[in-house]
Amino acid sequence: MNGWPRNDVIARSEATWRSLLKTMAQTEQKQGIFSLAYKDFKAGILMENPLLVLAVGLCSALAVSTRFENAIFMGIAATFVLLCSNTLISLIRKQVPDQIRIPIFIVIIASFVTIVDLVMKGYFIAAYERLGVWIPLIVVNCIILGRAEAFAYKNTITRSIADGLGMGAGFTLVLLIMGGIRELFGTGKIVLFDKTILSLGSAFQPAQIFILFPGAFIVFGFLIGFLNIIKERTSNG
Amino acid sequence: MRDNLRIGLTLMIICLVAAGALGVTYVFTKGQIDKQIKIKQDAANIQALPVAKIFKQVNPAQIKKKGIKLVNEQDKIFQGLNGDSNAGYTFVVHPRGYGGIMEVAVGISAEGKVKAVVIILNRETPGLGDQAFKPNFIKQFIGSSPKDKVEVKKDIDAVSGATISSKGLTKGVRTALDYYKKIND
Repeated sequence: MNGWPRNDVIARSEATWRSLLKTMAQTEQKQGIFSLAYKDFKAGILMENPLLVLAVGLCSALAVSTRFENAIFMGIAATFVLLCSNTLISLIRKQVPDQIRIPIFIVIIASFVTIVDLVMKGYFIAAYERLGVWIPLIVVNCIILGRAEAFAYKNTITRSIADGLGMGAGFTLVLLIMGGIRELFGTGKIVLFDKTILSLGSAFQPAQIFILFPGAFIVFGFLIGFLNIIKERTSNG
Repeated sequence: MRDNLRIGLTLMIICLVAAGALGVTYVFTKGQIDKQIKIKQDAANIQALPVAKIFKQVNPAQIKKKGIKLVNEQDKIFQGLNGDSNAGYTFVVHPRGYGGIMEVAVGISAEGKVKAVVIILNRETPGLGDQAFKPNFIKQFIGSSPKDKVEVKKDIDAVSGATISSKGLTKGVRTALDYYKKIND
């Protein structure tokens, strides 16, 4: 190890890490844990929205947002997994050895996804069959592993719960908007639990492109644009 | 060494807890999931053989007695009853398609004619392989009896772009017809 100041680098990075944790603890004390948690929750919905701003977990979001009802079930399922994994990982973060944190995250996330999978198979079979492979694929959804690694592993349990709820709500909100727009313009009406809740009338000619994959990208692009306009306005004002 | 032990133990404890939680969930949801599978099976049976009112599963001992060797262990045979009289059989077969094993219910009437073919589960490519499940292809099977060939390129035309799925489905119907022949022997 001559001429290779590895221990030195590690020691220094550990010192930075400790001081970072210390400042974080200090801000928590100063601002109060609940106002911080509220900020984390709010960030997930708009300013750090997982889909529109962080742009993670897009694959499943674009694929399942063909129907409003799909969006509800996918949103609830993902939020449940996110909330549970964030809570548990934050709870055991001091016991988890750094080298094997990723396998442990995956085991925890996969277990919660399997629970969701079994419950949906038993009680919401119609929705389960429509969502198909996307429910088991929540395991590899970047939002969940991303929040585990970037947030829950470093923060207290209260803030991790707030982050999970906020990110889940942000994910669900965007899914609902996309699902609503795509179903409404793609089929002419929105059907929820076999009841038509909104219809454009029989004179409306459905534009099938909204249901197909290009429609997902078009709607998603417009949503990002709108969010950017909102952000610009608020930062200017 | 101590570090390795700690890493291994942590991972083991987490996996054990996860396995326990999953086991508990499995036990609690199993009844409900089985119920859903049964509802699905009943629906497939009625679709495959609409003339029958009730369906009774032929148990493995009876299947063995008839000298039927199941092509796939999960294949199931249901007898359709209309009151007390036999209304035919539905056969749940598992032929191999392009994307894996499919689950198909074939309804054969008491006269020995295929009444309907119902796809219960498939993993074929959407838009390509699943073209073989369109009525235009499936209607070729309707009315065939055990003595027909039921083979692609002979009396069944495969859907272009979905050759393997077509062949799989055809094989499934052929299996059902073979079962039917054995049952009536």
